[in-house]
Amino acid sequence: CNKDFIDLNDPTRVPTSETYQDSLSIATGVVAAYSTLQDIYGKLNTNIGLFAFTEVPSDNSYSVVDGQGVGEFEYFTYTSGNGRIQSQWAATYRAVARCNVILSRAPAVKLTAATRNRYLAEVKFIRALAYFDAVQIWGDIPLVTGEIATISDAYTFGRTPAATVYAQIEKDLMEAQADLPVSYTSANDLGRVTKGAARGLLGKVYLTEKKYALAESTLRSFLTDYDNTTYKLQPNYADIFLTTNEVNSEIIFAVRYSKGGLGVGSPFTNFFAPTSAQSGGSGASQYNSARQDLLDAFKASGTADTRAVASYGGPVTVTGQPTYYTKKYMDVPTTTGDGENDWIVLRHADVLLMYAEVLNELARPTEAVPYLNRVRTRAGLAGVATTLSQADLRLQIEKDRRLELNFEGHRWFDLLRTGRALSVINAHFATYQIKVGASVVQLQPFQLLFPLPIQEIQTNPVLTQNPGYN
Amino acid sequence: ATLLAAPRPASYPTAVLADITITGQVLDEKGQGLPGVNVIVKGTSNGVQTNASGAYRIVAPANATLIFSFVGYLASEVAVDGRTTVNTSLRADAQSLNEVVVVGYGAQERKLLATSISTISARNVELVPVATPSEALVGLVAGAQITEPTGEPGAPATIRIRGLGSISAGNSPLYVVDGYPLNSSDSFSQIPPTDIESIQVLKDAAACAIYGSRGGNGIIIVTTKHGVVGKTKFAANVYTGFQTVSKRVDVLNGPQYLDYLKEGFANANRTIPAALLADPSTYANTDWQDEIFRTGIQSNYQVSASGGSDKTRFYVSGGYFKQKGIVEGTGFDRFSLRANYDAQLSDKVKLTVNFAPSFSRTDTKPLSGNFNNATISGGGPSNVPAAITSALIAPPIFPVRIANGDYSLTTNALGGNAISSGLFNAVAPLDLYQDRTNLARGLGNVALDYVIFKGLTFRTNAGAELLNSRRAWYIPATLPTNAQARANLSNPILANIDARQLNSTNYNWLWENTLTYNHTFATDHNLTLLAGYSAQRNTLEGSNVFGQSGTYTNTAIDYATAAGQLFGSASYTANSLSSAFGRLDYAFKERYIITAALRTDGSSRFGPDNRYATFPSVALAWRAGEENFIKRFPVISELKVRGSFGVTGNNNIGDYTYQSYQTAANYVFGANTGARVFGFAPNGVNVRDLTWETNTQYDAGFDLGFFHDRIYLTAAAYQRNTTNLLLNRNVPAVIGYTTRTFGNVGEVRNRGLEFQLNTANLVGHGFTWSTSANISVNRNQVMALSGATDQILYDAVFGYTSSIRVVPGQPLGAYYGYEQIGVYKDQADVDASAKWASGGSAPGDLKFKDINGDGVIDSKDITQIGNPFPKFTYGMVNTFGYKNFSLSVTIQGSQGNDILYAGDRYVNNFPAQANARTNVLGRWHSPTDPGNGWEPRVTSTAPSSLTSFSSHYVFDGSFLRVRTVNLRYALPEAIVGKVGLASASVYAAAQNLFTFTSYFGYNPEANLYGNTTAPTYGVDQGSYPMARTVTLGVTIGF
Repeated sequence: CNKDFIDLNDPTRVPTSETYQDSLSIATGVVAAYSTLQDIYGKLNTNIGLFAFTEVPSDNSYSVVDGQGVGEFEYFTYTSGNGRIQSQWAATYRAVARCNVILSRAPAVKLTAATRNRYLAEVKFIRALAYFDAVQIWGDIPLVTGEIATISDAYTFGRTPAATVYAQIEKDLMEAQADLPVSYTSANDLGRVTKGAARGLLGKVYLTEKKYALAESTLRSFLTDYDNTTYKLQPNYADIFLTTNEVNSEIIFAVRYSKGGLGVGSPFTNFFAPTSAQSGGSGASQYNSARQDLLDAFKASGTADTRAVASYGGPVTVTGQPTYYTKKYMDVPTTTGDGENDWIVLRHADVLLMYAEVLNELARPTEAVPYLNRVRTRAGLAGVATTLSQADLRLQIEKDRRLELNFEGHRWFDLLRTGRALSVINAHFATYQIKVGASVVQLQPFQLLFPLPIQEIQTNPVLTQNPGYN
Repeated sequence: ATLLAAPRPASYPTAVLADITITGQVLDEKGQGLPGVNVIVKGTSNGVQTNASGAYRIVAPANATLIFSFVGYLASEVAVDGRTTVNTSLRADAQSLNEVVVVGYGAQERKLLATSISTISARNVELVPVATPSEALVGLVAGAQITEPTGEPGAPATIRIRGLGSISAGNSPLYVVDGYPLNSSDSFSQIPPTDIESIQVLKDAAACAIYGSRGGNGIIIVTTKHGVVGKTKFAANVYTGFQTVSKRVDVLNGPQYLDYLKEGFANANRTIPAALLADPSTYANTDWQDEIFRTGIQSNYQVSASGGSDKTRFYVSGGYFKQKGIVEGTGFDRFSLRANYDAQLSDKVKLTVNFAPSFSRTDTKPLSGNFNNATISGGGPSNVPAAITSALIAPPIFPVRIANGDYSLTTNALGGNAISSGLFNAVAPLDLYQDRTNLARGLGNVALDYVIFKGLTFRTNAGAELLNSRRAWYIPATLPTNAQARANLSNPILANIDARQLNSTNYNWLWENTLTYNHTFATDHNLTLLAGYSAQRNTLEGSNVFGQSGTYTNTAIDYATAAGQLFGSASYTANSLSSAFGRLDYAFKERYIITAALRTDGSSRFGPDNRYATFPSVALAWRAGEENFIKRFPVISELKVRGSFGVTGNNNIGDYTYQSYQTAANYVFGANTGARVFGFAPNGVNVRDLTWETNTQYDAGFDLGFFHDRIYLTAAAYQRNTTNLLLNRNVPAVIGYTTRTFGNVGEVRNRGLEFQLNTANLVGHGFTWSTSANISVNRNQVMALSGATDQILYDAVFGYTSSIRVVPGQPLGAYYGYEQIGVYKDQADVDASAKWASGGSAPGDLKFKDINGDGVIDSKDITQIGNPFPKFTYGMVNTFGYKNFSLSVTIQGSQGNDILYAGDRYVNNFPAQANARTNVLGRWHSPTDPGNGWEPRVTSTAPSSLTSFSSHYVFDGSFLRVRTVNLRYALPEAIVGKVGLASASVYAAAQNLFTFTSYFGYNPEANLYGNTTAPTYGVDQGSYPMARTVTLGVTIGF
């Protein structure tokens, strides 16, 4: 038999085995790695996005429409079979795999050293971001740092301790920040990872690990190098989120989207808007709507706080109840899921608040207060006194982070980091008498980690489940 | 071996010669005397019969011709030629033992077969008034389930041999036409039945292994007609007739519907809209089925010429078949041509050419499936209303059109929105939607046979199959669709327009070379050896063009070019197969028979680690009837026992399935809103060991003939295990590029029994009667899937979620839902029983069995409630003859198959508003008027128990159908001779005359998903009804 006769490839497509051999395929491979961030943070028909893990379970938001299992995150009634848990997991490892293939193949491809190093640094950042989100959701997770060559190899990946995952994240970000540019000369590259993004994220990682000294030095160097130069606060809070003002001076890193029927549109208007009229005539689900707790927090902050009106709209009556929707992702999509809004991952106000937090944790509250007050001042509020105690300032920073960064995917991780999730969320359930059936919802300690997807555990028995789930 | 007609005896000069006494003996092929043979002097009524030893004595003129005839044998004419001793032997007729059976890459005498093969000859199929040969096979083959899931014009029957083994790689047999293994079963379906000489159905793995990785689902071998030596014969067959809907579904009429509707509103405490409160007689009383069905017409014209000399033979035919379907707007017509040519180029070289182009045109409509999203035959646009589904649920009080000429809809009839269900008009899609497929096909092959020396023949065979399809569909601006529900004649909506042209070209070529050696050693040892090599490649290219919705300027042009902006796409796929194969046939004294075959296939579809597959088989047979201890019983004319084992494959795993390709994964960079940048990433991982599905089959059976095979029974038992099922299974997501990938896992088992009994009940010169009956039993069971907890779930239709499941231990595609045990009689009954968890139960609601006994009815109580496979299927053909009349009656039946009737899905989704079947007349009205105890109350706010899938929607699909009745009268030779014809007959044929079944639907064999690979069987949702066809035809020969 003639072997060539039966060795056929699809001539209309490029086989994976023949790619990653030239500079162009490495360049498009890096773009593909960026593209998985849309899956992680939210994309129509692949994964609803991180907000289901970071906003809906918190005291910030809830899902008016119990669609796609998102409503289960509101009451912690999800099981390991919840489809969002599976799709978030799959999106995470899709990102990791696309980064790993670049990291393993790019070194052998003919490229200038600078370009190669930048590509490697970009995907290291993306991999670190994916793992950072995942380790906060699940704790111990499989740590894949190379290409998985065969299907059977995939069955060897069990869970790696979270500390090891964090070590890899730190290593990736350290290496990334070394090789990334401060900014890109071509406007066409706007949105790629920068040195500041890697350094800012590294600061957040250290902070999350409670490595306060490292966090302080990292964030300090960020502010020394970029504060009010490369990055600065937008004068007007509402402007941060305008679709006409994307990649503005406050944005350190955002997941980019663009509408127009190109397949890279933003789904968030359709996910969050209350009516079809507000989502461009196509369906809207109101997944990320303000809880009364958040409304009351804004009320307590006072009418001067300009962030309230920029954050939510309403009331819109749904089945007789007033509801309040997020305004940070409003647009008129071309079609369902095809909006313009980027998802901001890291912005300058977040860094200022993190630096305030770390200084306070290092028992330097007096130094911390000015950074907090810059954010408060921009919001139209008076600054807090420099005389606040460490404990009082800790609560004040928590409160301001919530009001500053609401609906942007921070609240649940913030509460986890500060160890306040159980008390804050349970107090919220008690105050607002949020019930499933007859009893008030109670967040259990084991629920601080989400369950691993049941499909993965059934597929690969070496994976174990988090305690309390099956 | 080729059967040629014996040369005609030279005619003698007519002279008056004296009568002489002639004696002789008539022998059968074994050299034994054949008793009971009729010996007649030609042209007279003078005749005798042979005695027990086959001897006879007759007085006849010295120049007479004697005719020897006996049932089951070919009649023979022998000129006396002045002799006083005339001995002769008779050869068995086709259909009986000496019939030559076409097997893969050769032919074999039936008596020497050790494998399971059923044969259908020309006379069984050529006069059946159907479009495709598969429809003509219904009811004729033991061990094959041949069903007609739809009555749509041009749609072939579905053939499944010995059960279903595959879940995702398909269960269609391989079709081989004149030695050419087809890529497309369509090339088989479009052969006019009249052109077919014989069809062999290869069933066991030993028969199929010679086709290796394509033989797993059985093989259908078709031989078309070839010329025979002699004067050129012309034949014509013309028939025409009409078709009507064989059965209607009884639905409520206007007044009944109004009662039902008002009771539903009352039960829901809703106000009845004023528009519905007028005198019932003032509303329309539309019978929507009347509006969509019509009398169809079916005609066929076929002429052929055949003949040949000792050097060349030919068969040429041309035909035109036309069918106007019984649903408005549907139809099928076909032009076909065939030219078969055989030439003896020299003593050693023979040439065979088969060439068969055809052209067909099919008009289809959105008929079945979701009322607002039809399942269109061959795939099609979304959101088009299904006409038949709609006709069954459209309110009878709506007129077809309202006063301004618009099609009635819930939004415009009775002043608009009197009922709020958003139902569609059943007639509009038939009038307005356009969908035509033009298909040009060509199948041709050329073979050269070269005799190297006596017994050793080399054959090379090259051919090609071409299918060129062009389909165009058009949704005009005026058709109300799910996307634009208010579009209508007076309200054209440009955004509604969808015009598309889809083109595809499928070409396939083959080159095969075989060496065959046949020799008989020392009288008793017959040996045939075959060795071959073959290469085949298939390529499919497609493109389609469509306009962007909303950019059309008007509705006057039904082409995509009328759009302001055009889009298109293209596709390409190919596969190739390279094979080596061989077979050994050995028979000792025609008594002990062994057949062993081996094939190795290399396929581009298999992963590089499993690129070559080898399929062995062996079959043994013992013709015990030839042994002396059986020969002592003269009534036993044949006794053969046989057994076989073999491995075959199913390579329909898709082209390039094992490979991973780069797919677009784009992102956005740039200032402000940014711009799209292109990225590429792998779409999966290479599955380097992906391979064929494997069928391992054991077969045992016997043939038993009595009274010179006047009674002939063939029985077989088999077990077929399909392993290495192609399944899209979960893999760990850490792979990154996919969470599911194809793998070879899982097992399905089929076990069965099949019996074929042929009897010549009455023979002789007067009334004749013969019967051919078959019965098949198959049990199908899923043995394993990829994981222990795995189930594969399908939604029978939208809304019946996971109602069809593939579960280990159960048959493929079993139905799962709640099991109805009645309706709640009254409140006391509700209080005392398990209640519907989601929303509770009220008196009159469906009452389900509490399977797990936990006091509530929830998803834990879902259980297996149906099996689409019959317990057994059967068929019987009775053929009667009297003088010049012949009558054949074919019945066909199936016992124990369940139907999942999804037509009520929307009745209950829009309760009290969509029209219902008359079964609801037995509904629960009140505790004191509880109806028949099975039909629930009607309420316009129905509980979800009504729309959930339950055994309320599963029905017994057992049926007995009078499939074909054919009455034929052959005009006497004396009359036809006067007008210069050789033969002429007229016939009347009826198809689907009666169907006896308790199933209320159009067709107990209905399947919405027809011939698709997914194991979703027996789903009826607005199926195209079977037509009752009555035709009148004429055949003439000259």
